Amino acid sequence: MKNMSSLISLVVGPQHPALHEPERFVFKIEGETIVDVEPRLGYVHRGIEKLMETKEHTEAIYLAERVCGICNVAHTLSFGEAIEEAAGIEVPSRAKYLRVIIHELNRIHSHLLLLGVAAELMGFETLFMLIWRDREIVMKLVEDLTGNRVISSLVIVGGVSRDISLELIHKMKKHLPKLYERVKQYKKMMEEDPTFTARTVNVGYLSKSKMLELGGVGPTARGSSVKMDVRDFDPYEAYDEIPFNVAVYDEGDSWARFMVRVDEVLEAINIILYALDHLPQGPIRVIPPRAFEGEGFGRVEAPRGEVFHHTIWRGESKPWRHRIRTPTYANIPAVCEMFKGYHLADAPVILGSIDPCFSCTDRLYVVDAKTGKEKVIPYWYIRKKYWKR
Amino acid sequence: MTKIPSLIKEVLVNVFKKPATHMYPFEKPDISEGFRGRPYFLWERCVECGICEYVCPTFAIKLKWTEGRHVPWYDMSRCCFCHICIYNCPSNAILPSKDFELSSYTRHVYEGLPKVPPAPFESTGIYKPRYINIDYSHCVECRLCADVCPTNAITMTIKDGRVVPQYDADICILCHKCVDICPTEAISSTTEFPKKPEKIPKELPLSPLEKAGLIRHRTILFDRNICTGCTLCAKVCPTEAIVMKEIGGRLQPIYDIRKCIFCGQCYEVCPVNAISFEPDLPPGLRRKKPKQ
Amino acid sequence: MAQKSLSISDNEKLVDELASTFKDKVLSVDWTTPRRVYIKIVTHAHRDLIKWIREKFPNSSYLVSIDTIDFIDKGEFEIRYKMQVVHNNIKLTLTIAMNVARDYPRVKTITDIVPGAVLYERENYEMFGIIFEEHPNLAKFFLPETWPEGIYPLRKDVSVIRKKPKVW
Repeated sequence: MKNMSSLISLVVGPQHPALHEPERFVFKIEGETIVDVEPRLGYVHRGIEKLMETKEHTEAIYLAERVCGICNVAHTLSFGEAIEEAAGIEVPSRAKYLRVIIHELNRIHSHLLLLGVAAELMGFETLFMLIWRDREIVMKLVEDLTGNRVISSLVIVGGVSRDISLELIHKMKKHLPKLYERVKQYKKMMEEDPTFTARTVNVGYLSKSKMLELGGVGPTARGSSVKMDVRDFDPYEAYDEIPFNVAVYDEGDSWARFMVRVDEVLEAINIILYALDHLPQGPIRVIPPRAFEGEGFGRVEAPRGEVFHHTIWRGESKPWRHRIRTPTYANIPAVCEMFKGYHLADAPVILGSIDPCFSCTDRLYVVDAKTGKEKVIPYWYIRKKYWKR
Repeated sequence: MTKIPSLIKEVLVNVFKKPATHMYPFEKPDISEGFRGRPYFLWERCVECGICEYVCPTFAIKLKWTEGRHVPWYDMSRCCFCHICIYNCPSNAILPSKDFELSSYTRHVYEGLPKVPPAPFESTGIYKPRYINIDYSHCVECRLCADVCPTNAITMTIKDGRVVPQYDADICILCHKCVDICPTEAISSTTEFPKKPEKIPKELPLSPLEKAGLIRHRTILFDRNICTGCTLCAKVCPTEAIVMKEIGGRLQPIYDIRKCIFCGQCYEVCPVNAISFEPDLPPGLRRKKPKQ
Repeated sequence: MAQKSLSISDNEKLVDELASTFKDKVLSVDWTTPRRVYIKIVTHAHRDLIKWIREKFPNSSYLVSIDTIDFIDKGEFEIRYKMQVVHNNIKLTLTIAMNVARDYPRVKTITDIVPGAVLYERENYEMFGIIFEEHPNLAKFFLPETWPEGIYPLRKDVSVIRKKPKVW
């Protein structure tokens, strides 16, 4: 009788207070322990890869920017790199350093956002508010540099759209060391305080070989002693001239993944201060051609992992194929493996430790259509079938 | 317990700090200088180049012909506030601002000025061409304008029994090569852009050669019974108006009237004299009613 | 402190060893930059190469992605497998490309060698219609369950977008 399946299927559905974006996980639990999980995504699917085939590159970069709001600099940067490689143009070096600065500022803001959200998922709202107050320093600097707090359209194909002034350089050099001290305090707190460690140590363990088999990327992989960082093994922009360390932890649980992110924030502040000291003079953009032929592969290290854009152009002013691969998509098989064997109450913490961004993941095809063509799916058809459910 | 956990120390320090909330509607917002707000268009500086319309990613700017000149009309409901038009405008006719409180009940508040100022180049007497006019009563159908146009905005077409050029204003870049090369000065540029631009007028006047009573060769006839399929005519034709195609088991020439320039090379080279010139188009394409 | 280990001296050796081990399967090798190589192989030979790479570097290589490109004028799909190897002196991105006929797209799966390829193969199936044999669960991933059968959105002959943009 005990062998009869006492598995219960629990649906943590699209709408849930513990989740920030819509996705559905069906947990099969036995008692209180999770045995199996099945994900289902696609709730914010927008049709971006198909739309990219109808746009020229001057407008498509703004579409690429809105794939994900939080890591928007990574998407424009890899789009710009892919088009520059396909068209065969070279970006001036002042533009490369400015791109590095905005890239690292974006990384700091994204990691501080996640650390606050992870604290909130554990019920620790005080830490959430404290971290987000320090994040305001970074938001103000980004607003001074690019004109907007989150969506910074600073990177364009061929260079950068705005230049940095001397007062802003002084302001950054004044505020960033203060942020460094604050983040060091948080790091000490996370290492010692039982309020944080009791819920994250030994929760969601995944070994190094399994992580490589399942294809995890970014801080998720670096928490399991996989020492891979795109800025290290395939440097882009000015990263071959700037020294920095790669943060790696060996424990393999959620605590290690959070600590990797805290270390990356400290490294990012050092990179920005180095780049501000060594900023070269010169122009900030070149004009790219409109129609060309070639292939480009642009790959960057977004805050969540490795993003790549791959374009193929065949002589017209619109691409033949544009492929985007986002990091949360690569981390999903890994997170499904991490859930098994742990309690149901640990599920939000494990999910939060991979930094999920589902609007990045669901970036594929269109659900809008007009009748009149042979192969076009009529809109009323989909609506009728959908609503009947 | 030997030392205070670091979190409790943190909490105690923060109990005595000012709250971090910024009471926005009751206090002025704290915006930095380079904030990307709504762009303002100064029509008295616009030189009608069309760059802002080209680079705008969401099609929020359109150049419209209003009261004697082109001006950019700005649609705020489509704008994404990226300021790329401001970075690219060559005459600084678009100004950035910090406005972001932009809700209103009506839409026309943001669409265009009531009065259109004159363009900056008109006060110095510079002539800005905006459209190309073709005068069909002077056109002798030499096809040079279609050959020299770099973007193929002028193409030959058959109308009213004549093979004449037609003009497409969307692709034209106003390089004036056709104006320079026309031997009878039938093509000229004007400053007025018509309300409804059309490619070719409904009725064409008579060609000047017909009015003078001269013969204008308009087509070439091939005598298919004599033609041996030697392909020499296709090889010497400079504009590839003659193409050989396999019809009924043997190679036959296919002729495109719009490309032929009547150089006479095929007539000279044909070994069996199968080619002859005719002064009018084939029966189906001739002019419908005789004009006096 | 700074780990600028940009030495890539063994990249070419690895690719030469790969090309000589699979002499009859590799069609061409093309270096776009010193760190990225593009290898074209005969159809259905991908399993051997990927297995060789995973067995040689079990702890320092991973599958980056699987893409498909629709070349409708040549009548074939091109499927690309991207692998990344980061070892002592090797920092290499390998793109293994093969052509598959457009009207009969059936390819063997690689989920027994690389379990992380599950989602990539599902996505390529629902967007292009490529059937991966012996895949554990070949079902739709992003599209809703009520999407009509047989219509694969990313193919070039399927148009799901309004023809003329709205102009006013």
